[in-house]
Amino acid sequence: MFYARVIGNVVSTIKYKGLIGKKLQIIQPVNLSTGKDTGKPLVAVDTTDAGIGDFVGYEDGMEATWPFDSNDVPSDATIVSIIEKVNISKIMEPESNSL
Amino acid sequence: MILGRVIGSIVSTQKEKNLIGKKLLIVNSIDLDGNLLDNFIVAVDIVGVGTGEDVLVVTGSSARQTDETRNRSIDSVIVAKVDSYTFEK
Repeated sequence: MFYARVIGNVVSTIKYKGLIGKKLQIIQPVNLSTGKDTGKPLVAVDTTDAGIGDFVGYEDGMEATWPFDSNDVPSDATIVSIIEKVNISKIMEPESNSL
Repeated sequence: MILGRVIGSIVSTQKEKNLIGKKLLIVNSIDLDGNLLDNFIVAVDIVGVGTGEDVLVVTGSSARQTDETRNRSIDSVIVAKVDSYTFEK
């Protein structure tokens, strides 16, 4: 799962039947530890009810089709969770040996 | 999914038989401001789009999750025609 921020949405009427009724969001991948944008924005199918400004987790590749019951949903990026909070504990440096 | 603009088509007569009858279009990816990027994809069209239209392209094995592309040697497919999109940076 990757971390991203929802920055917009896409309106499309002519689309493949497996995508009808699916919400399409524009997401900007974000670096989990620095919180800064990383890479280009992409379009993802939304299985949650994320809105603009929400931080989300998304799957890419073949895994992006797994949240859907049918195997008729061509999606290579799918939002699978809305993320409320990220806890990262700093990796502790090993204490210097006092010998 | 990648946002792109259809800029042309490919004509090919000698091809693998599972590609026969598939419409191949050249898609130039665009950024959110609509500027063309230096990245081109040849994608199979399953929705019926034309040159100059903005589309969504699915790549990788997910591209074979449609009736038209299942079990075929296809790794990018146009799945939607984009009417409009909104975004805030």
